[in-house]
Amino acid sequence: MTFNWQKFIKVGDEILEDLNTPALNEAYCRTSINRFYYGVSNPARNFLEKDGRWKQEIEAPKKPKPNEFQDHNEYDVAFKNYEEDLEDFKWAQNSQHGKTIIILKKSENETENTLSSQLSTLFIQRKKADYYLHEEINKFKADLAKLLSNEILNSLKEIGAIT
Amino acid sequence: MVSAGLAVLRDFQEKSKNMEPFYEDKGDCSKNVEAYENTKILVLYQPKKEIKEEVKCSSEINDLKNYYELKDSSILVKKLEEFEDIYQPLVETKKQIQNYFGKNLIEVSLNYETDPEYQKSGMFVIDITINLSAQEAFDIYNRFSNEWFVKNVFTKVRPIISLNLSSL
Repeated sequence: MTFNWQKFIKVGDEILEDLNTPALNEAYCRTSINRFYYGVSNPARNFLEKDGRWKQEIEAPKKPKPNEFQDHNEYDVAFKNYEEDLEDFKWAQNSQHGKTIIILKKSENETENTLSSQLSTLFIQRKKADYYLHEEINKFKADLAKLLSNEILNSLKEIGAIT
Repeated sequence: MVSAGLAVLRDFQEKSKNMEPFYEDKGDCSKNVEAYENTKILVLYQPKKEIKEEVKCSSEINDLKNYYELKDSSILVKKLEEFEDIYQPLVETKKQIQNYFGKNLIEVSLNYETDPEYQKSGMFVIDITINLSAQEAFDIYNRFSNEWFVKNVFTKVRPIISLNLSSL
């Protein structure tokens, strides 16, 4: 039996609805944002695993050689592109979050591109909720994460990642 | 006497062909000052390519301050220098944010957020502070994202540029 990640969304929702203890408000908000993120990022990653794109390593960029170019400027441009591709490659190698966002961003499917952008926004909200000590995480931010999470669910349905 | 002066001038022109004036934003310019032989002209010169890149980069980042509040600037400046092609898309994005959020916009800041799993990578984040409810803010964010941002910026530039919303 596989775990239904949408239960995470449900738990996030319940936490958000049950803000009765004032001292725990911020803790609830931080926790619900975390649930809203993983409730959609895990199905997105699972979808990529299932359709095979997760296993296909993101291609390592090829380092350009000066003798392949007649013009020095062309070489400079190619080398800069190489360095930028290398950064994506290293991120995808070292982080499942980065890998999910990069694969969907590089996709030719517009819904997947939108999904990548939405996930990157929710990723930042989750990072702040989980790691930032000096930034207040309030109901506004938790509500936004919920709205975004629901929108991402629609995108996941549209691409067939969930039913 | 006159011909000696002309010779010095020709020599000066020849030497300065591949050079251009150098102006530092800050610091001690006297280090770059040379008294040109026999002419007593003070010249501020250094090789063209080096100067051009330095001036271009710093002026673009400075110019971005007209559009964004630049947060956590040390890593942000480093990343902006690495990905200098994103300058124009960032300027255009700010203009569009202004169009979409209008009078509800309070501040737009730019930051670079690393990934907690891999601190060497991350994404540029445009933080939009607005004076709206979560639902209203999300509706505009969604419209902006679907109609303009994803197809014109997000998929067009190499590094990831993400949007984030905050309220006062």
